[in-house]
Amino acid sequence: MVNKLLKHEFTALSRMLVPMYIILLGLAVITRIIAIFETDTLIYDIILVSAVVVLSVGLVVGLVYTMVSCIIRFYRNLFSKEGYLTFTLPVSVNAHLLTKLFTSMVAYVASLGIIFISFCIATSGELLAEIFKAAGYILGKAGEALGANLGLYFAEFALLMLVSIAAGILLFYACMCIGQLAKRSRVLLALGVYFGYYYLTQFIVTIGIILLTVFEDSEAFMNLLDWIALNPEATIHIVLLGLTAFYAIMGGVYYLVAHTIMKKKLNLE
Amino acid sequence: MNELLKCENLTKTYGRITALNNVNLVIPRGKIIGLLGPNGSGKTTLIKILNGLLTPTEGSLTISGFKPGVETKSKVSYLPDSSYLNSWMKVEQIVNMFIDFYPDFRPELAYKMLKNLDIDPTAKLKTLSKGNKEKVCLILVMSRNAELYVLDEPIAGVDPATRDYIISTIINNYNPEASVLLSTHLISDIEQILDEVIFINKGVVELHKTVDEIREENGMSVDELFREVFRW
Repeated sequence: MVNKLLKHEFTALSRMLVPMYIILLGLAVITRIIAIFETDTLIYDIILVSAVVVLSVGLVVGLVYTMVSCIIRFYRNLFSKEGYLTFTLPVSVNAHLLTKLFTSMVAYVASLGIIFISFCIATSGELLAEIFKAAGYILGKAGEALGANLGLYFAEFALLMLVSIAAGILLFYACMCIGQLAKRSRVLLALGVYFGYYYLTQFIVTIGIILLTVFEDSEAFMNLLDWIALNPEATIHIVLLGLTAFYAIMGGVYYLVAHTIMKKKLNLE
Repeated sequence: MNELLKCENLTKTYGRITALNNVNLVIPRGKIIGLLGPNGSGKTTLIKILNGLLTPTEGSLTISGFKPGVETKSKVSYLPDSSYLNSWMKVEQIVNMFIDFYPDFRPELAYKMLKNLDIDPTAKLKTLSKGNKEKVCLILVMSRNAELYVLDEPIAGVDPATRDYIISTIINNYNPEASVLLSTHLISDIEQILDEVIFINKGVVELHKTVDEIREENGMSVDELFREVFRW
């Protein structure tokens, strides 16, 4: 059943996202074509800069549009009239949540891939070669500094990115599910919960930073700094894996909230 | 087991409002049952609990011994009171979706009914009229070989000819071993096909009898009795 859900989910999401991806790639091709016909005139400079700006804004809009499309898809398919079909399919709540999470993550990664490809198309030729050369140089220097662990750091960083994206998506899902507990203005409540939670976490982080400055002269803090200085590689591993574990736990909590509400408190109107 | 659906002390409240109040009900197999009541009586609430779209506050509801969940959703074929299909999808895409998720779905029957109604399977749902969209929904529901068909207001908001078509579709295509639970206000149109009726008012089941019993005991049709019981 999960395979079938995935098939229908990808079909629905791709009809929202593929046209946008085609537009972005088209903008990249147009930018590149403009770059080919380089002339030393003010008009050309204006056109080229405009094309670059439109492409840059388009890429950002594309990323935001992907995020918004996934959220809208989740809401419409489960909590609008479509929910009467979705929730009467012989499929578990876990299957619904996991397929939506998976397809959203694929969409995010795909949009990042489109951004990268668009960038490569727009800068193809000598400029792209220079950019890759510079990137190679930076990576080489990083490799010298970090030693054999460079590949492992990249893997841990990639894992952290995936887990944090998943946690971010699940937070949206949990907020939308919490919004469903209200009788009216459900979307408003969902937004309120999301922003309230965001500001609460910002507040907690700020308090943490303030506490750090209060204790920065303490012996324990000094010992910690010494340890970090002596063990930079281990520190990077701990930070990356620690953050990954943190986001994984938070993602698990958001999943539990969404699952519990969808299974036990569903009230489609 | 002849008991297909069983409600025990089923209650649903929304704050201070009681939508269903201690409902005890048994629906047997192989019957067409009318769920009749005025607006706000609790019909749709009962139907939604049955389909797992609402959770009860107290009590229980089982279908073939299972609580509403994955097992019961494969046994129940549900038609809501308005179209719930993605308007951007084509009719054949929706049919394929039903083939994917319901092993008991009969695509040859669905396509036959679509052809009889001159509905192009390659047409997008958003290009169909309201009546045709509802017919597509009904065709999908009745093309399943389910144990329980639940139809919420299937003939409201359509013309008399379409109503007759819907009623004949229900009669001609449902599994005789199954039951059909029909919620409606248009009792006179549906009375001739009903085996049993349930009168529900303010969340309470006031009557559950066969149509023959009602006619013999009260000397009136179900429609006449309904108007008598729920008179303002």
